[in-house]
Amino acid sequence: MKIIESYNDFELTVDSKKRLYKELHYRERDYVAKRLPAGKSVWIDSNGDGTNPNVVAFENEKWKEIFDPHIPIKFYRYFNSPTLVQAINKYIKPASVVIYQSEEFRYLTPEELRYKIEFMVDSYPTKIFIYIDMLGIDFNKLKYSYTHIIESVVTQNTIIHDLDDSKYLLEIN
Amino acid sequence: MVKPKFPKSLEEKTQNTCRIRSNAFVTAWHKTQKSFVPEEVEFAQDQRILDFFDDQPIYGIGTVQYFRGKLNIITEDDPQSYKQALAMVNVPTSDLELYHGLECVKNIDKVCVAVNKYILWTPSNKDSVTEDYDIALLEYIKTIFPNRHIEHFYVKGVKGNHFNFASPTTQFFITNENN
Repeated sequence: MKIIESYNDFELTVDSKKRLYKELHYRERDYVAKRLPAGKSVWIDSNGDGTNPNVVAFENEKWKEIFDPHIPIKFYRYFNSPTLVQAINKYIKPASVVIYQSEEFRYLTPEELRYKIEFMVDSYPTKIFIYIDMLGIDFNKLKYSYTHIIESVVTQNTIIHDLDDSKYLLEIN
Repeated sequence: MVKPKFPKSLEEKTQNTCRIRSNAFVTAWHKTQKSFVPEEVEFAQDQRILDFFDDQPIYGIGTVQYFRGKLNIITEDDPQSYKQALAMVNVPTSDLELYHGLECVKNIDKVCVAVNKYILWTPSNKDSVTEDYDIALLEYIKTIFPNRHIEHFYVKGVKGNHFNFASPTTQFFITNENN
């Protein structure tokens, strides 16, 4: 029998990618949806509802083949790309930007998490929602509490919503 | 090496629940991830467990369902009559729960403890714990299994690529050998 160590040892099929994406984004969106301000809302790597006229969904292009091409979803290559930021601010002018169950905010160290939150704040002059599950954050969990870590990474003008157990929703601006 | 101080405080508690929680979702996720590969495969961390144990009964706690049928897993409540034990820690577990959960297997000759290091949590900061998480985990296990030979496997900087949430990549193989 073949022994495998990681996803690098095989190619994912389209069906497997669909299943994987669904598992990464399986929870309800209500945590965020009920707090959204009026106006356009941009959801990045967050399974945004492309059929909702007030939602503009951006997904990482690695998932492109799993989405229905008839649903208006935009794709990006680099989350930190100035081109992506400019396109969102200039052409969509959103009232809010949402990060929900995003891989972009998973498996990060606290330092990486702080950097990405600051990047969001610096890039989008809008209301920002960032969902963080501390189960997916990479730090010494025998030494530091979830509360300590989440409080150490947030910027000013942030409300920390303690959703349940390990899950937090940051509401910025 | 400085002995971590926090387990001493834990020992002040007399509770011994002797339980590591399980979760059907984890078992299903293990099966799902293996199904992504078109041929029959074994995850490297699972193969290490299969290679470690012999045919004798193994007292199992935690998410051990995957190994039923592959190993002689028993989950009845009399761990001390066993010579082998497998503890799979793969649902959210506090440091205290981990300590007490492993109490019942600490005197068993041959033990494998597999821990998804992402799902542990502590309610408050512990200044005395070593900064390096992988080393801190080893020190923690050593306080539960003192004077035992411990072989430690882990993936440095493990992220989402190694099936860790299906089968933990951090593993401690504990025996009585003095080498």
